[in-house]
Amino acid sequence: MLEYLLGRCALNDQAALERLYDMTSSYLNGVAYRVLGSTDESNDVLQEAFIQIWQNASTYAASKTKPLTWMSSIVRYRAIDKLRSESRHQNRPDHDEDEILNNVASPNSEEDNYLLYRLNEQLRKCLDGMNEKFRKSVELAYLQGFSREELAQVLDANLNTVKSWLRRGSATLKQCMEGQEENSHVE
Amino acid sequence: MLNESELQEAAFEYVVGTLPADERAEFEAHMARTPKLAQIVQQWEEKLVGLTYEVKPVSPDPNTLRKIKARIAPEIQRVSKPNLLDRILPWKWATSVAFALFLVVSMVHFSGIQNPTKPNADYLAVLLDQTEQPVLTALTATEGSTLWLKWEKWSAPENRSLQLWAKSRRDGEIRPLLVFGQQQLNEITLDEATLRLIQDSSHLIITEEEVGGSAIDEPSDVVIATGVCIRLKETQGKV
Repeated sequence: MLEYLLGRCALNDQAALERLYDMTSSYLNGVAYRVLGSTDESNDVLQEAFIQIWQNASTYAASKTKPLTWMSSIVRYRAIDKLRSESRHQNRPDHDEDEILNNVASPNSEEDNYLLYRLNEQLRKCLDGMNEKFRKSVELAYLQGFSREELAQVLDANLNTVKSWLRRGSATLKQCMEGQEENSHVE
Repeated sequence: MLNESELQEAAFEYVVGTLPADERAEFEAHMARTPKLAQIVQQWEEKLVGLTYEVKPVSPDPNTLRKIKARIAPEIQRVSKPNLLDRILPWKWATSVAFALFLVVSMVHFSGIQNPTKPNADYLAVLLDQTEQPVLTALTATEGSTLWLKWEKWSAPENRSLQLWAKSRRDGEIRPLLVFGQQQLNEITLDEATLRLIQDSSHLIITEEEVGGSAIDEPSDVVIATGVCIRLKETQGKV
């Protein structure tokens, strides 16, 4: 469905964009909010991201990437760019207690949710078996936009150590994920 | 020149988001010149997107959609096919080839103002009826595997079928592409043979036929719409 709506956006179908927005905006806004820690800023990023999605819909290649991956990457990169360009980090709220996260039902389709669930499961199996500092680094960076310097600070390590965790950890993670993919094909 | 493992590490840090602003910008410039790097980035994006399953959704501000629509509205107007058609009606029928090229050039030009990235659409045809009004825009995308159809007018005739034909640019023969049912069809997955017919076609034609399509694989005289088929990528490359 999302692929189809992106195709319609490529034909300048505004109704398709609205449907796409209805289906994904809460999820994508959640992704941006987790990085930025501010609903004003996450809404700004969401707006910019949807303009980019609209303008680049014709470059989306379903054979190369899944629609949710493509769209969430646009949102995350925009959110990270915003953090980095302002040379700051978010005024990080306690995400678990924040009233903003008021049990909004996931807007993604069952199929998209299941896909994300499976990917999460595979990733977790790998991350949970790896160096804890690496796992924590990936979670803080990917979900909350931590830079290397911020990781060094919060994990009480020097910058080179963080770089080394990321470098070595990425190779191990890749190997593990590819093993998981092969296993899932066998199953 | 980075080796494979250095490319992997850099792509991982880019996707995870740990690169400082200057290194991110440098990486993106490098990625724009290096398809292999863009491919590695996509692979990491697919591997890591599962983490977003743990993110709780946040309802967007009710005004956000309104702002988005306000910003894309001028763009729709500028690239809107019917508006362009209306503007050039007096001469387009006599010079349909020039019209179609003009349309594509206009689309590329206008979209280029907003977005320098070239679309991956392959073939485009705007089919006009006898009153020179647009009936259908057909576009192949997703590297040719899908045919998108944007109908301006749709009416399935009673006890008849609409059939889409391709006129070959190579030998001038008109060959059947597909028969439409009673429901409006907006997207079709193309098989190899149909894709080849579109790639070879100079025109697409819609005719009215008996239910299920022409029994003799030749179009009837009841032509609903016709349009020049344009290879979009080649045209863009020349603009």
